[in-house]
Amino acid sequence: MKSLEFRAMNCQMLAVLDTAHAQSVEWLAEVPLWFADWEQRLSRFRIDSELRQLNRNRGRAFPVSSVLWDVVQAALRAAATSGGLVTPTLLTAMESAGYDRSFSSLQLSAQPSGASIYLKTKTPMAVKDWQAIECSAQTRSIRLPLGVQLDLGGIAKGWAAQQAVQKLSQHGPALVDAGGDIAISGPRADGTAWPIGVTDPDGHEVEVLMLSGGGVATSGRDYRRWQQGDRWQHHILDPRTGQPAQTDVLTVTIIAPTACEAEMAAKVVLILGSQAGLQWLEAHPSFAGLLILEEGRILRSRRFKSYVWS
Amino acid sequence: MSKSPTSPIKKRPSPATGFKWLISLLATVSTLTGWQAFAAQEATPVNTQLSQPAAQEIAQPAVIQPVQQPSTLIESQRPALNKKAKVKVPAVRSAPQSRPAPVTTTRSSR
Repeated sequence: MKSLEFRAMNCQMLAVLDTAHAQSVEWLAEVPLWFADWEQRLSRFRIDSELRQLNRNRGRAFPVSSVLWDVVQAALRAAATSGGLVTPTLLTAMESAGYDRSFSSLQLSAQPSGASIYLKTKTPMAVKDWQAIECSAQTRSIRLPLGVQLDLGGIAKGWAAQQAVQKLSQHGPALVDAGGDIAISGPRADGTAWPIGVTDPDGHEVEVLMLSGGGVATSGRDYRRWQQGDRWQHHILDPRTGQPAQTDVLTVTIIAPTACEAEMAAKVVLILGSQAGLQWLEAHPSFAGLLILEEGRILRSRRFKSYVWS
Repeated sequence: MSKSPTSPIKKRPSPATGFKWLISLLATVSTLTGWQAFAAQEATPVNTQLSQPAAQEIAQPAVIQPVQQPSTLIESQRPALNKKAKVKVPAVRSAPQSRPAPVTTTRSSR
């Protein structure tokens, strides 16, 4: 088994290939190049990214690459499945909430806690309707309504993890961890499942999952948060209010068929809170989840235990 | 010079005696030949009787003999193997399986 760690998309990445082939190191070395290309297309922080070009050209049909097209389609599917709770149209509201630069840039002025940052208070903005986005598969073009800009955020990372795993899997069983969003191609070379750790916000291991495929993601307000006045804010906005979600859930870990779906479901549960979030999970049989509450309690959906090592 | 009547004279076998000897010789040869023929006649049925069971042994033993015999031997050895297994299995069961070390950990994006 060979692995490679690197940084991309402002996150720590890990690619693992379960093969003893002599070329495995060379194959893994290609992964950062894929991520560099995807980041150049999908980043909202790079002024020359393709996403920024699309956002600047709102109001008219803008032809896009197959990469940007695929990720926008994944984001729109997530919006439909989540009933609009996870939407790519949060950018304006996100910038109004103060998250207008990458955290690696913001951390230059970080507080001693490392991940906590003071930002100026701004007026919350209403979130635009994702259903107003027009897509033409025939011309592979996207038309954003005036006033709408896209932020592909976590969906882009989940999509990238899936793409990388799919490309690596031609050489052997693979796993890609894109900053906590994990995609798995299938069982390991010896037929066993991959052990995946789940930790609490303090870094203590809560569970070890045994996964033979699909995706797992964790979303939380324990990281990438900042203080506005006397209140802690975080990067997960509730589209219903345009403000950081007020919830009793600190972190959510979701197991799903894909990393994209896991990312989406984790945000839904976080925004809904523990009670409504668990009900939503139980109503969607392809998901299983673990919730760590602000008060410290840990809740699990009924299907979650079947993935836990015992 | 005349031959004295008292001088030893070699007697030649009479033609009748020679004939009897010849008959006796022929009879002996005939008898021996007859035995060989008899022996050959006797051997044929003996060989036939032997060859038929031999054919059965080739056809049947693959099912009966080789299976029964070795299995008896294996059975005789199995108790020893079973005794070893009985000793080892509880030892494995009593050792708790350690929690696998995670390949990676899912967490909030960072």
